[in-house]
Amino acid sequence: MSTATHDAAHGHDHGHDDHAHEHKPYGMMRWVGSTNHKDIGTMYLWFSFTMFLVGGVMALIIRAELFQPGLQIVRPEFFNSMTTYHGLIMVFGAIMPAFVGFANWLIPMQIGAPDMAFPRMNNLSFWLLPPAAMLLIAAQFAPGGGAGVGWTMYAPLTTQAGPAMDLTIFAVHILGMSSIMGSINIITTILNMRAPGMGLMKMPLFCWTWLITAYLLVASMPVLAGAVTMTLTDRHFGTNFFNAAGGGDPVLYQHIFWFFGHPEVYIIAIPAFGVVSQVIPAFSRKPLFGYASMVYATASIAILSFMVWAHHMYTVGMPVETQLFFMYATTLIAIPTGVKVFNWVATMWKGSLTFETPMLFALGFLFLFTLGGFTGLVLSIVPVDVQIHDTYYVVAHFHYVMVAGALFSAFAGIYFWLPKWTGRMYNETLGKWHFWLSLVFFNVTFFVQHFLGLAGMPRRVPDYALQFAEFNAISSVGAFGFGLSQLLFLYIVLKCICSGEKALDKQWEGADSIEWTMLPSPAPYHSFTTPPTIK
Amino acid sequence: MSEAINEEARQKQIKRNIRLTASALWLIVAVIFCYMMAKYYWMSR
Repeated sequence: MSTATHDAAHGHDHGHDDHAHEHKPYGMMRWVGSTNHKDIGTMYLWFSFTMFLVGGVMALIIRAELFQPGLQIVRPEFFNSMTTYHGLIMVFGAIMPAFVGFANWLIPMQIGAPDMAFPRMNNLSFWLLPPAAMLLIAAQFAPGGGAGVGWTMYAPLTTQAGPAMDLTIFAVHILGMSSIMGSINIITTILNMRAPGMGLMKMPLFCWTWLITAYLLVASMPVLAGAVTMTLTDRHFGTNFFNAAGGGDPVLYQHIFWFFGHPEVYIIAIPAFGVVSQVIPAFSRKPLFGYASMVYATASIAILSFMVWAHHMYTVGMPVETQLFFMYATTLIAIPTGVKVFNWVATMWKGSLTFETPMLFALGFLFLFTLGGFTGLVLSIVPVDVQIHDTYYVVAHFHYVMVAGALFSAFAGIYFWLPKWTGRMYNETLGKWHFWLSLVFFNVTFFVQHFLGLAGMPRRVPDYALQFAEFNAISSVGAFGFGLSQLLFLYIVLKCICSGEKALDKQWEGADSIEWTMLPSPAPYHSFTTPPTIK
Repeated sequence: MSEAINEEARQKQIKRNIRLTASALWLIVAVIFCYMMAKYYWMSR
C-alpha cells in the first residue's frame, strides 16, 4: 500500500490550494452538464438508490403474492413481469450503477488524478441510464404488459413476447453502452492518470478491483449486446439465430447470454471485494494481509469467470464431458475466492478491531458472501444441480451473493466514505440499527428459501403446493422487514447530509489511502489539480 | 524553463497514451460484437 508524503495536516495546505478552483456551477445545469467526477458519482449513487427502491417494490409485490398459496394479488402474467424487471432493474439499475458511483468518486481521489480521463463521456455514461430505466418501467404499460421472460431473456420466449420485449431490448442496449463507456473511462484513467510514484502495485485495492472489473465489462458487454441484437433481428428482421424451425438453436442463446452472464456476476462482486478490502484493514488498524495475492486472486477470478458459463445450463442436454469440464472449472474458482476470504480474516487477526457500521457491514458481507459462495459450490456439482436447477435454492444462493455480498458491501462503502463525501458524520447508533435489522431480515427472507428449493419449489411461479406455505410466509415477512429497514438507511443518509456532525479529514484512524491522508473532508470540488507525489 | 518544457512533453505523452488506450478498448468492443454477429449469422444460414 502506498505511503503518502503529506499527512492529514498538510492535506489542508493542498485543500487550500484547491479552493482557488472551488467555483462550481449552480442549479440544474450543474447536474445535467456535469463533467465533475464527484458530481457524476453522486448522481450514480442516487440513481442507484432510486432504482433499488423501484426494484424493491417489485420484490415486495412478488413476496406479497407468495405469502400464501393460491393466487391473491396479481395475475400470473404480471407476476412474471415483476420477476423479470426486478432482476433487470436490480442488476443493471441498482447494483452496477452503485459501484460505478463509487468508482467515479474514489478512483481519481485514490490515484491522485484531477478527474476521469474522459469527463464528457462520463457525463454521457450517466445520462444514458435514466432513459434506459424509463424504458424498463414503460415496458409495464406496453400492450400485453411487461415481458414475463425472466431477466435472462431466454429464447424462444423472447422471440414470441409482445412489444414490451422491444423496449426491454433497447433498454439493455443503452445500459450496455453506458457500461462500456464507463469501463473504458475507468481503464484509461487508471492506466494513464496515476500520480507520480503511484505504481500499479501501490494502488488501493479498490482501484485494482475496478481495473479488473472494467476489463470484464469491455469483454462481456458486447456479447450481451450481440445476444439481444440477435433476439431483435429474430423478432423483426427475419433472421433465425434462435429459431429451430429456421435452422437456428434456442440453446445458442443460453450459451451467448451466460458467456456474458457469468462474468456479470463478478462485475458485481469484484468491486464489492474492493470496498471490503478497504474497510476491513481500516477498522483492524493493520495493512491488508497479502496485497499482491489479493490482486492475483482477483485477476484469476476474472479470467476463470469466462470459462464457467455453462454451469448455468447443465440441464439443456450437453455431453457429460462438457458438464465435467464446467464443473471442475467452476469449483476451481473457490481457490482464489478462498485466498481472498483467508486474507480478509488474516487482516483482522490480532488487529485492534472496532465495530463501527462500515465494519459491521463488511463482516456481514464476509460471513454471508462466504455462505453464498458455498451454496454456489453445491450448485456447481452436476448431479446436485440437475436436482435443484431452477428451484428456490438457486434464488437463495444468488441473493446471498447479490444482497449480502454486493449490497452489504455497498452499504459498508457508503458509511465508510460518507464523511469524506459530505464532510459530515452519520448517526452511528442508527447505522448499527440499520445493519442489525438488515442482517436479521435478510436471513429471515432468504435462508428459508434454501429449504424451499431443496424440497422442490420451482422459481418464477406465482402459486405453489401447500407444503411450501410456511417457509414462504416466513420469507415474505422477512422481505417486508428488509424493505422497511432500507427506509431507515435513507433517513440516516439524509440526516447526515443535512445535520450530521462535522467529520474529521481522516475520520477513520486506520484509513490509509490518499483520499483520507491528503484531502480535507468534504473532498474539495476539484482535487489533485496538481498531482501529489507518492513515496 | 526546461522543467516547464518537460512538463508540457509529459502532458502531451499522457494525452497520447490516453487516446491510444481508449482506441484499443473501443476496438476490442467492436471486434467482439462484429465477430459474434458474423459468426452466428453464418451459422444460422
